[in-house]
Amino acid sequence: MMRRLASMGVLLAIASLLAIPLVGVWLAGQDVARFLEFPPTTQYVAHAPFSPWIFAIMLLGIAVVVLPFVVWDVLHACLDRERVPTARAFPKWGWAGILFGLATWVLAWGRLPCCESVQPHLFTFQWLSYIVIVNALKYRKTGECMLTHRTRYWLALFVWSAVFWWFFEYLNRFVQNWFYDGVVNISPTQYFVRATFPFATVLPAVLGTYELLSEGTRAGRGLEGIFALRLRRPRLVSAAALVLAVLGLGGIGVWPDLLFPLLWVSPLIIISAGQSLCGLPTIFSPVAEGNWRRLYLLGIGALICGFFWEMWNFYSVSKWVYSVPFVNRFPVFEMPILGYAGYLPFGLECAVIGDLVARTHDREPGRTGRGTNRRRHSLLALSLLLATLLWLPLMHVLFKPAIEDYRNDGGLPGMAKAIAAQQHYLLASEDARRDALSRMRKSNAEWDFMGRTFSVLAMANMALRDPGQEDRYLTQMNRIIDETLRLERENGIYYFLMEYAKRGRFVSSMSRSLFLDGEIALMIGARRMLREDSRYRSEFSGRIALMRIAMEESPVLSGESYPDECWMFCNTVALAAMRMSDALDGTDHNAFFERWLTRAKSELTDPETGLLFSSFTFRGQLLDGPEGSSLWMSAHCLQLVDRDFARAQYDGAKRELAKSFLGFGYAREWPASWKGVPDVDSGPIIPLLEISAGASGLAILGASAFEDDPYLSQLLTSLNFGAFPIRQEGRLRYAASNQVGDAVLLYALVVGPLWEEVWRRVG
Amino acid sequence: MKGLLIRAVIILVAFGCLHLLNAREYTSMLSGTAPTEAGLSLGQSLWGSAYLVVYLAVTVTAPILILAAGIYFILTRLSRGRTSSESRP
Repeated sequence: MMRRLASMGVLLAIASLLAIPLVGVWLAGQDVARFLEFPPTTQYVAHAPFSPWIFAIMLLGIAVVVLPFVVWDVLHACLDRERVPTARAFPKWGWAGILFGLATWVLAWGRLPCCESVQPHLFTFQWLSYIVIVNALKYRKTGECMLTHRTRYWLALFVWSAVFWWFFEYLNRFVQNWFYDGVVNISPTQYFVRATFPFATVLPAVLGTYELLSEGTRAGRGLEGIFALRLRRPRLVSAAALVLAVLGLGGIGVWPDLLFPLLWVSPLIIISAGQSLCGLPTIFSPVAEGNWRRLYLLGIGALICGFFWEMWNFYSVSKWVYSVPFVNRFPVFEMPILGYAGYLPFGLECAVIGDLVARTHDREPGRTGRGTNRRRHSLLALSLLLATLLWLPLMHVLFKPAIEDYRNDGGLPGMAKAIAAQQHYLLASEDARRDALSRMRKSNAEWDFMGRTFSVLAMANMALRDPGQEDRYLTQMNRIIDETLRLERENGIYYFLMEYAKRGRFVSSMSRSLFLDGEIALMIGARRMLREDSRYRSEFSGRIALMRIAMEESPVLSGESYPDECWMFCNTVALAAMRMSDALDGTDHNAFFERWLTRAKSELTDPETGLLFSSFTFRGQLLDGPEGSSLWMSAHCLQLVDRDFARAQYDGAKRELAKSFLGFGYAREWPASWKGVPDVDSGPIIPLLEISAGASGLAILGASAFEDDPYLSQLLTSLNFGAFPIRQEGRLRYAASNQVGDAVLLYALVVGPLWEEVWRRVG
Repeated sequence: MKGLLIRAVIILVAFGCLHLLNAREYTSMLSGTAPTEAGLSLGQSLWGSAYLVVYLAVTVTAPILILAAGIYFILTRLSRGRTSSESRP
């Protein structure tokens, strides 16, 4: 019964601590929602500038409270000749902790290129090492420690630590005294997971350090009987302290500059006052007997941890920075020197929570009947936790491609050679090609067509990279182009379109699909860039002229891919083909490009993200917002139109859509601010992380075209992991993909020389 | 420890069987493409899904189980060492 009441009391206290600051800002008429933003990215508290007077007053106040204890302890230590004897040798697992700690420290600060993806996660491992080392030191001195003798309690501390620190993160929303760098392009789930692991190490670190100081050293012995602080009317004082602390905590969001120190003090006072009013012992109870040692050592323990927190944070890849009103000067690492005073009450708060956890999880003496089983389960859980922490950040290394797999400026990268071999095999084997194409056509006839386009574009780039193979590539390109033109001629435009194209009427008087004209023109243009062939000249210039007419008819200078559907993907392909026309036939589309860009920037761009819409009607009415499976290709095609605008689109797409998790790169189909509906090109979308297979595949093209090697490497890592590569006789294909997917990938791996050649010719 | 290793081996064996049965080809269902000209059947989708699940188990779960077995072995040895030294007079 008592235990249930105590649990209810704890729950009530937690609910109150969460509600008090929110009620405060609500009563002050502030917008409550901004304090609940997650992940927290908005900075809305403007802090007061540095004030030397307030700095001096605070310094004096802290010195008056803290220095007497420190001086007394130091004096006592000078006179005290006793030492705590050593009980055991330093354990082997302690040495392992030291080695592991040194290794993670070197990796975290070393900026080794091979460890870039792991570096943001190393902070947790550094702290795990610290925790093991302080436990090992305590074990050496006393023969026991939390890790080995109170394992259940020790493990529970990790769980409660995460909850505990998330509470302070919540309070920080009201004062904004610290911020995390690099919280961009990160989903709430990712933020939560990444933050929870380091938060879980706080309590074991502080309480482990305290136990080492308390039992492994004689620090603070002089404070065991200095003066007894007995309150005459403890309940009244407790009630008054409770009221003041509640009011203070309620006001931190309203007056953050004045009340920010209460973030560290109020929770401690509220819990202790509550315990006192209930007649329970508090963390301050020993003071009534004149024993100040525990409070002193808890403060020192937290301060020692604070030193390591700030030091390891200083050169971390993912780090936090401070903005403290009035005293934001004289930093020691990132923390202004007076900020370290916050660690003193924080140590006491850690102990309050530690005591609560101990009551629940420590085994009582005499209840050791099921001890062996419990111990086994604890060790098993610990082993699984450590193995998970070790494996997940390392797993991507198995799938990471070598740089020569995707970069070779003088020839073909390794992956490209193997995928090209597969594409050549399909062209050489009539049965295999028919099989591959018909399987795709069953899902989407467009993929058959786009597979041709990307194959031809890839071959043009490969021929420019390897001129000795030009004749071979030209033969294959001719074959694909001739077959495509024949199929279109024999079956009409609907042969390469989805069924719904037949259900509407084109608005433009041309009644043509820019999807087909644009990609056919691009294929022929790429073919002619290698070597002129008069057979293709009129076909090419005819398509360019028809596209120009169709686009000019639209108020937003955009042609229809499907009836009354203009796709940005196809329109940018058409623009790229027009630039090829300028290079090949001396036409001049610059004025048209200027007008198109002006219209696109004003009418076809999402104002919130600055990204191009993916589809709209003939008259410019929005159909679909910025879509990953469209944007990356559009940005690449715009490299032939306006390189600065193309770069801005790529950077925007990277900012809004590009993600990475544990070293694996991926792309979302939609920006977080946009609620879109996936279509057939999006591929499967994995919930929570919002991974889109279609957008991620085309992001490979974007990253390669814009020479973003770190992101490209992460995307290819994901491809090797999740697309099920099949290697057979030197050929490479991806089982989870299809011919068009492989063709896009091949083009992405060899992209570059063709666009450079176009720019060279247009000057 | 043995339990962890046995589970890892079961996953590896299951993966090996599915791989030998060519189930990897059926993961084409992820892109909505049929693995054969006959179209994508329910059976093929199930094969593909099974392969996907076992593949995730073999790349994520099995290494964790094997590592955990190693860590557990070390921890129990340390713990046993401690218990025996505690019982010394």
